[in-house]
Amino acid sequence: MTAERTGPATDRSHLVAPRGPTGPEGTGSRGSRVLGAVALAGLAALLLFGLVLSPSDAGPNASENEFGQMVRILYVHVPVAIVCFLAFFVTAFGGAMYLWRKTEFWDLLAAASAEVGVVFTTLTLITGSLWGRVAWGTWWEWDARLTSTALLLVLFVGYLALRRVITDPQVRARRCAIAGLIAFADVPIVHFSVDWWRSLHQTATITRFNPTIDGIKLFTLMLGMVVFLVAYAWLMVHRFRLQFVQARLEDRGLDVAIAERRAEAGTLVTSSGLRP
Amino acid sequence: MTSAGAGSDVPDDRDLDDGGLDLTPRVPRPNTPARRRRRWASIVVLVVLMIAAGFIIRQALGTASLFFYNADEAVAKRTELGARRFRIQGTVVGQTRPVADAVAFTIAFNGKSVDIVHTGSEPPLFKPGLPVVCEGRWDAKQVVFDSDRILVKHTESYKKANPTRVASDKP
Repeated sequence: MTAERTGPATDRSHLVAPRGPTGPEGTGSRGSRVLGAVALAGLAALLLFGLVLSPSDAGPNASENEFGQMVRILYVHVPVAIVCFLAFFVTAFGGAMYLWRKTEFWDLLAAASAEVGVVFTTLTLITGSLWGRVAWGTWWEWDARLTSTALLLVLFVGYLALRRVITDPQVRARRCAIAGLIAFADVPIVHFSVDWWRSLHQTATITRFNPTIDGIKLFTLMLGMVVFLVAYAWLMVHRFRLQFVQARLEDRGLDVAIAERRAEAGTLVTSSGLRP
Repeated sequence: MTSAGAGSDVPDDRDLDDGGLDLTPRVPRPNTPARRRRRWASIVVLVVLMIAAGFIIRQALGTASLFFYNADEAVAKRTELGARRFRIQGTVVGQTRPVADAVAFTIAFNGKSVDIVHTGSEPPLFKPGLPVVCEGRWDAKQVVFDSDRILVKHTESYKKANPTRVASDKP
């Protein structure tokens, strides 16, 4: 940067989006576009199976519960819940790796995954609430599974808020790594809550030795898992890249600030020393 | 690290003697008003979240940890529960029958059955053979449970129902 006098309304856009071939113009890439296309194709397949090909839970093949058409919510609710657990596991793992390795990559990974995880937790609660209204007869109850999931959401929104409060990148990374690990402790609580306490929410259907679901319903459920995993991966690619670019921007901001301070000092000393 | 004269964004790899390697100590980012505002907003959010978490934990220690009594427990604790409002769980046995402006049915769990008189609507999934959770209290004579809310506690089964299979006894 040259030692120019900078005024309050300086256009610094050339620092953010450098002209020329050096900087990326977005977080997309060929790989992410392929991933996105796969996710969309999978979603189309899931819609086909979930809404059309899989049977409604009624008639002679119905389960003892007879959920009817609303059983289809299962194909979204269970996958987004599983992906939410995975996302928070990645956050905790990234935090642990950061504390060990101290490289920026793990911190950015943890932060990106926490945000995507919060989205999936919200989806879990929304789809679950719809299910509850039809199946149980209530939008919400404070039973063990729902309470612990609500707590999980609050904990990780808190993680995201913590990231905004701390300004120094290294301090932020360290404290958020610890916060993420503590918050992750709720995930096994959520998973086992239906076994440890009496809950309105049903016990496990697939995470057990004898899954109590079969046929096309089981296939559609597994398809849903795959589709939402791919969607998670796609979201992570973009969110991580965004985190990375933001980190670079913070570094740039520092350089700009330093240059401005030097310029204010009125010397023509450039960062390379006393050279014109 | 930026190279000075060129004004480009290429990292400066020159030796210190050649003018590269900017070793000036970094200062923390300037505390602009916008950043200060954002920081305060985030702190407010954190406080709100802590209050929410506290509320949730209170719920967790209260209703979530004992969401319902099973039918046999409710019978055993009849005098202790008195006229308190609580939830009772059991599997619906037999059909419902209309009683005045309410509906009566029986639930059973672990060998004990309880007669329920329910005022209000039932959820769509309600039917004999499924576990339900009823909210209400013991009536004055502590014989019948007066319920005003039914929650259907559907099982985890999505397989074709086996007509000879008995609904699970698991609480």
